[in-house]
Amino acid sequence: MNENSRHPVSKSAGQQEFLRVFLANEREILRYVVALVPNIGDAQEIVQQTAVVLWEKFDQYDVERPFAPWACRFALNVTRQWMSRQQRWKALLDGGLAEELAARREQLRPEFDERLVHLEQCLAKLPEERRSLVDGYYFRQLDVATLAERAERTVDAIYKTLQRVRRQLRDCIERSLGEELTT
Amino acid sequence: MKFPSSEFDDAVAALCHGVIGDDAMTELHELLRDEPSARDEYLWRVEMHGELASERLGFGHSAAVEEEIEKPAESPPRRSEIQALRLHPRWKTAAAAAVALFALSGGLWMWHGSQPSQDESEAVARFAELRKSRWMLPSTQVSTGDVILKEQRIELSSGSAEVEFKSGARMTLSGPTILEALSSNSVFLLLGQARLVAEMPESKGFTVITRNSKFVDIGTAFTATVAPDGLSRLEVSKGEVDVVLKGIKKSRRLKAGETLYVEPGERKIVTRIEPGDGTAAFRFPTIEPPSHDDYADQASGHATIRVARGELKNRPGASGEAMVLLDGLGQSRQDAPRESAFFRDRTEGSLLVDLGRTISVTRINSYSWHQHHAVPGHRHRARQRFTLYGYSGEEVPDLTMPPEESGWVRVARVNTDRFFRVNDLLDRPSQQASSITAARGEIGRFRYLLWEVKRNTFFGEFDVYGKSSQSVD
Repeated sequence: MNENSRHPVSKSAGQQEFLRVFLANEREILRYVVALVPNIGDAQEIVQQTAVVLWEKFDQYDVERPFAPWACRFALNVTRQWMSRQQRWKALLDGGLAEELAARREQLRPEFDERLVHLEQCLAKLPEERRSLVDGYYFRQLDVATLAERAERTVDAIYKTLQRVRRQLRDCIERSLGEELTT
Repeated sequence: MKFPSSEFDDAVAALCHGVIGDDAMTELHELLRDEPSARDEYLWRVEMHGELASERLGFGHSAAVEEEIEKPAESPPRRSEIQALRLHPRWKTAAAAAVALFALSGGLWMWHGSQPSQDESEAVARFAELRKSRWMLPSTQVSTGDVILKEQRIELSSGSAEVEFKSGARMTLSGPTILEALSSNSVFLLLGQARLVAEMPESKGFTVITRNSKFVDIGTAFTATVAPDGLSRLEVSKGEVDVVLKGIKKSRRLKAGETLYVEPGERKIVTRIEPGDGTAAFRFPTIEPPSHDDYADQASGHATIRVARGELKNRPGASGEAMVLLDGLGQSRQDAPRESAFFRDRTEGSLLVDLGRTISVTRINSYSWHQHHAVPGHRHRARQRFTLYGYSGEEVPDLTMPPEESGWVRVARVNTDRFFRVNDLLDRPSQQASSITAARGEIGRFRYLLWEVKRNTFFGEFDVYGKSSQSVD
């Protein structure tokens, strides 16, 4: 816990309020970071670092305004710092590509949200084996080597299957959107 | 790289999986810069990927928990099915249906007060005592004696609550704390502080799981704390506790009087703090004394140190030069200003160590010693309060900016007063050491290390252990 917090309220009350709003918005912040740094492990690391910054700046947060956009500004800064330390990610910073991606995502979000409404039913339509893979990779966060061992397949085969599963889900979502338009 | 193409598909997938090669990464970024339609498609793909990945956040920690804990003996046969429904609502057709099923299964998502209609066979604990307890949900009603069901989440806002588990373990929660009862002998601590006393034979092995670690009771009493930013702390007051860090098979055992901090993040940075014997020998329970054998020792000629911010005290009772911190020695007596490095009274500052090249840093020890020669309670300058940062680049970042905004990586935070629970000045050991390590392997590869010091501590020595990158590579 940061002892240098400038919160005028008691530390525990500040903690409580921070926790409440952060947990309510953590998912949104992670999605924002994943748009820039898609590897989940890296993105979670960035979100964790963002949480530290947010806690330190929490006294500057205007409770009248939504938390997520405020938090995402810091998340972008932390992401930029993270990229600047990774040689191969520096290209994303050159010419402001990271900011462009973040801005474009904001424009596309209403469309994305419409599409993602169908994700749930598309997940349910996956064959059991593939659903289990999504479950292991995304929800249980098992590493790919473990998933490969369990499935008695190679690591490359698991990566490839995950790629196919996502394509299957995208195709399903597109079909669902099409059906929505024709009914 | 063209769009659309299989190369694009493969590159985005590999990026999501964290296995993309440098060339593919460069080509993908060039494509994203030049081709708006590729950019939109990329954003859609990573959006769905992010949606899948973030889904579990709405459902707490449990994915990690399932991996971390052994299945409790009293688990009902269909626990895995119940858990799956509870964890993964997308398998359900609607959130409402999921909520209904959770309730039916006994796996309540939030605490909603006394649950007389619940099957008490699912009860794993009871509220034994409540002291000025307030709950995060204002509608929550809890009374002494109310049962706590398996997988029930307890969200204490303030005050304290004592919980008695079926195993006989007793746990005191201090608000704000969020905790989930996993079984009659295990909990997941998401935030806050839980003090456990497990004196019954049945409660041996009581397990407290946090986001980055698992604490298994071997003896009788410990306190686990999780800060909002994920920093976990374990203090053993009686008996022994095994600490298992996520992703690391080998556990480490802590004994009574020992405390460990685990920083959030991939590397699992662990900080140990110990009081010394108060002699020039600088003997500590497990931390080695100041040494000439570390990489940064001035005799090796590798490292230099300077004040990066602030001013060392110059008179009266002036500080020594910063270089005394790399001389392989602590102070020779309890009040030796010239053998110490410390900032002007009531000021803070930072100390920068340049290791000369990027090395693989494995351990960093900091030593302090101060007690006024005539006033036993005057030990202000013994405490250690600092944040340690590392940087791997060749040029030191802009030191006028906050470290976390100028590229420094935060390694660890040390606050020995909190560790020693200093209420009275005599609680504070006059000689102290902190030792920062990674649970496995290196702390990181750094050329520069920055101690952001919050108090005018009499530091006597910094020891940095590691290997040069050349020998590591």
